[in-house]
Amino acid sequence: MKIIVCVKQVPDTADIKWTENNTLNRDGVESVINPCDLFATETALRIKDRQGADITAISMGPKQAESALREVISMGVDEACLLSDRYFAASDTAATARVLAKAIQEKRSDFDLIICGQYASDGDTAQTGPSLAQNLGISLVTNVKSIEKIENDKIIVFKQEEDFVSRIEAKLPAVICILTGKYLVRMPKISGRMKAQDAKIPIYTAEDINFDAAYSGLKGSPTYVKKAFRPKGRSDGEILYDNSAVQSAELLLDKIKEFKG
Amino acid sequence: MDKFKVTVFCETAWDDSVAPVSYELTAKASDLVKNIENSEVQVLIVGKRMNYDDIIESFSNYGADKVIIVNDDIFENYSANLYRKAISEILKKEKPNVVFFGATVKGRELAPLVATTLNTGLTADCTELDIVDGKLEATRPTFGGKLNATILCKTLPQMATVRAGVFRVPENPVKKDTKVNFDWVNVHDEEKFTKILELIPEYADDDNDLSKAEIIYAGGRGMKSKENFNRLFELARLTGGVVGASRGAVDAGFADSSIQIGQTGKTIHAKVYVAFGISGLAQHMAGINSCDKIISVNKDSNAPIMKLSDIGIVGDAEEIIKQMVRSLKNK
Ligand SMILES: Cc1cc2nc3c(=O)[nH]c(=O)nc-3n(C[C@H](O)[C@H](O)[C@H](O)COP(=O)(O)OP(=O)(O)OC[C@H]3O[C@@H](n4cnc5c(N)ncnc54)[C@H](O)[C@@H]3O)c2cc1C
Repeated sequence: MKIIVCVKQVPDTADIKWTENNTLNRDGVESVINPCDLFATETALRIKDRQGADITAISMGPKQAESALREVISMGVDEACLLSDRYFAASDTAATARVLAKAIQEKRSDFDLIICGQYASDGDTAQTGPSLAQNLGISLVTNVKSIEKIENDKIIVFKQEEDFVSRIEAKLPAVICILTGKYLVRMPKISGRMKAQDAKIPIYTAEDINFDAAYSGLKGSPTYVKKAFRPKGRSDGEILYDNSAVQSAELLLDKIKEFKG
Repeated sequence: MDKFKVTVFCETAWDDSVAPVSYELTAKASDLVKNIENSEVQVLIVGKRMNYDDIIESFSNYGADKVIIVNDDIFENYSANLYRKAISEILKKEKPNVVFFGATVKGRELAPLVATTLNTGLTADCTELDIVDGKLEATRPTFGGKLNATILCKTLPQMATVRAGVFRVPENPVKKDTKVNFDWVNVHDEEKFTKILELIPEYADDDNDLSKAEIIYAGGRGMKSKENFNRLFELARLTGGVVGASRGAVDAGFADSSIQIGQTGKTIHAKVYVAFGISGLAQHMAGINSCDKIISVNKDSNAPIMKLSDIGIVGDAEEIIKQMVRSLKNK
């Protein structure tokens, strides 16, 4: 069983603050592994525990994303590679999925299963996993809560639907996109940390994976950001201090009635 | 000049009912093209063989110029790759300028598959839409709701998934004369990469439907305990409202995640939203911005939600809720 886990390094969104001129201040913002991707990694490791598997983690990003890959190796992932090239920078989801697909075809085409996080906490598009599946022309299940079993040429998963859960069978090879869950993601052991320290993580450029760089980056992405702005608040609101609980309660009940119309 | 076409994917549930977002998007699409000469709003339905008359009627009411139906019993049970192929084939033929999907579980799975098949761009989970000089301007929250980004697409069709409940269907719809086209796509059983084995219902509380509520009382971490939080249900019962929660309250175990409001929960559009002990971080606000009125109760006058509310009341949530319940019972 050969598994690929897609991992993204993201800014810790809780750390991002606004400056006075409505720009985002990312100073001192730490980079973390995207939460869903940690669950994707844990899911892969549980398959490995249960039935054995070779797990490769793959990430596209700046050089510093290597630390995210070392972290998943310390958790028990076998190998990792980083896709990093200035031509990849500012790729949208469509372009990112093309790069990932090409890298997988060139370097790890013998995989059985690709596990992605359902969404990334910075962009929250949830599009890269599905787009990757389509570039590779293989099965896709999104919103996966857990895996029931894997046998021969198929996988059975539980998918969170709008207001129920479905049990789905998918042909392998497949891409599954994992949600965060209530189960624990394992902590690295000391031995894992040592292995991660020594691990060789190859860095592949567009050329290394025979990728035509015209199809990635800002130029190669079908979408672009025209403007970014701060969500607007309610300008004419008022704040009321110094009321007793009884006064506040009456005021609230009055206002609710008034606003309800 | 070519027709300016906007296609809306009609999402149907397992019981053949239409997801409300499909109607919302049809109404929005017809509003967006109203000043564009020679335009057409199309609805694309993929499904089993059945009677679609009522569904067509509803789409006519919401402004569809044309309904395209691809009906074959192979589509009875959803399989992503089959639906992808059917939708993509029709879009290749129709060549619309803009395509909308609801940002539902199904829409967010299908739209990127279709966009990749058509080699075009897709903007996820939009909360505002505009068409300017033929260009779709799709705005969405990003960075956990801290930033809104307006995204454009260089290729055709320009695609977007749009959150449910952001746009509303008109209260007095005007019926259109809608054309109906039955179409056919060549798909095979072997192209079913996935199949549904079983549907497992989850406990759904019909009395607490956030999507339709006019008054919503939501509690956050500042509710302090589950017992306090549960008083909100009493308040809701007494005033005809429903109860929601922030992620803080869900994480603290006061409330079930099914009633979480925000970026990773439900989007609501109540007439009155009352927040108790919620700080008002962007991820939470992303779910409530389309409410008519926001009232917040917080002991901290500097909590972000205070500035984002129509009325902010500085005070203790527990005490105020107790007084509200007492007052209502005395009346
Ligand atoms: C990717 C991502 C997605 C997210 N999605 C969501 C989402 O969908 N929905 C969501 O809600 N959050 C979401 N969050 C989390 C969000 O950032 C906040 O952490 C969360 O909304 C905080 O919940 P809270 O306001 O209840 O708690 P806190 O931020 O802890 O605020 C508690 C508030 O209660 C007040 N308080 C305390 N005691 C009292 C009292 N006695 N009376 C009155 N007030 C009191 C405090 O002053 C404070 O303002 C998401 C975060 C991330 C990173």
